[in-house]
Amino acid sequence: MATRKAVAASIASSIIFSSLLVSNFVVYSGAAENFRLVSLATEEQAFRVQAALATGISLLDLIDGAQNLLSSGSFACSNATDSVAQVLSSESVNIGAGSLRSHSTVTLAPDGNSTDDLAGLQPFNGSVDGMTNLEATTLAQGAAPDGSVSYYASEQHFLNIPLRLGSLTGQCLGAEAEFAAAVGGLGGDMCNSTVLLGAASAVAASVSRSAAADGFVVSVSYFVTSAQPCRVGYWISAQQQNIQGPEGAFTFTEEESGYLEA
Amino acid sequence: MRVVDLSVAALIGFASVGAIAVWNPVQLSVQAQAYSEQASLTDYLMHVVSGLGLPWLQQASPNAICSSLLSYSNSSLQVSAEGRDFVCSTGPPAGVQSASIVLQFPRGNLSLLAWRQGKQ
Repeated sequence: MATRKAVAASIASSIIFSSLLVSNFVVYSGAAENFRLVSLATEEQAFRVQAALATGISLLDLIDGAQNLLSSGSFACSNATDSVAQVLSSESVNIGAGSLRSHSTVTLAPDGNSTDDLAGLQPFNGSVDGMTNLEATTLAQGAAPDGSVSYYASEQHFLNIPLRLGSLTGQCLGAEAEFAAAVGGLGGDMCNSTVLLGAASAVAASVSRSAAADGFVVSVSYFVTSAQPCRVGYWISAQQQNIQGPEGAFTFTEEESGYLEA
Repeated sequence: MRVVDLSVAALIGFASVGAIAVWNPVQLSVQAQAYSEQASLTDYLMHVVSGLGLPWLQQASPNAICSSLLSYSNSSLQVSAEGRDFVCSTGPPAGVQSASIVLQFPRGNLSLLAWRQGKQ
């Protein structure tokens, strides 16, 4: 009788513990699946964060580079936009963050307003009508060492530098046209220093005032290169100063020079 | 016979308890929660970066960065930074779960750290 009871107790304990084990396994499997999904989501988030930071820093590097290029020399008024576009197109940035690699390039974007969802680059994100707008392309890719997560993103972003390139070029070319009309119109009197000084000073003062009203600094210089035949040289400088770039304030300069002959 | 029976029952019991201890679902849940917490802290750091802006973080002085981060900290969540030549006065206490992101600026890296106050 005692033996039967002992066997019954053993069987009962087996059933109870087996049930416990099965229940635990079911709960454990659920927890393991949840853990796997959370791990994947966390790893995916890590890539997303790295990619967002790499993209943001790449684009900031591109704007920094653009600022350096734009402030390092002067551009001819007659083809300033093309020259700026050409200079900017030489820019590219590569960034490696963990197992993620990103490559970014930039081109001059057409005028217009557009917002950009890339946060963290304010006030340079999005394009603004009248400013120098850039269109950046970023390619980011990477994979987790165990291959559980891979990341690939090709993104386009609009950026802006508060340089009013079109307006400045307009001021410079306008000043040149005004000077040519005023001084060239003097004809044979062009080399008469008194007449030349009067006409040129009036033009210089006028274009300078008009440019200042628009926030630019435009100056006109002239000189008589030969009296026979009468030949007057001119040099126009147009600047937008105190442009707030990511590296601090900078100045952008356009220049134009030429000769007028009577 | 009785001894054998008791031994078998004890074996089954110990084996079962051992198995339950090894395949402990609570431990996995705790780890999953820790990952979720880290993800949430990382998202918060991204929110900080978006708010302050990369151009500002690149240019700002250590003092300005540290004092700005104070406005993103509260009684339960702390944010701090570590740069090439500075560390904000507060850092995560030992044993506290924290998250960090590294901003690789050309002039040097800037690490932002976040952690929950009083949470081990």
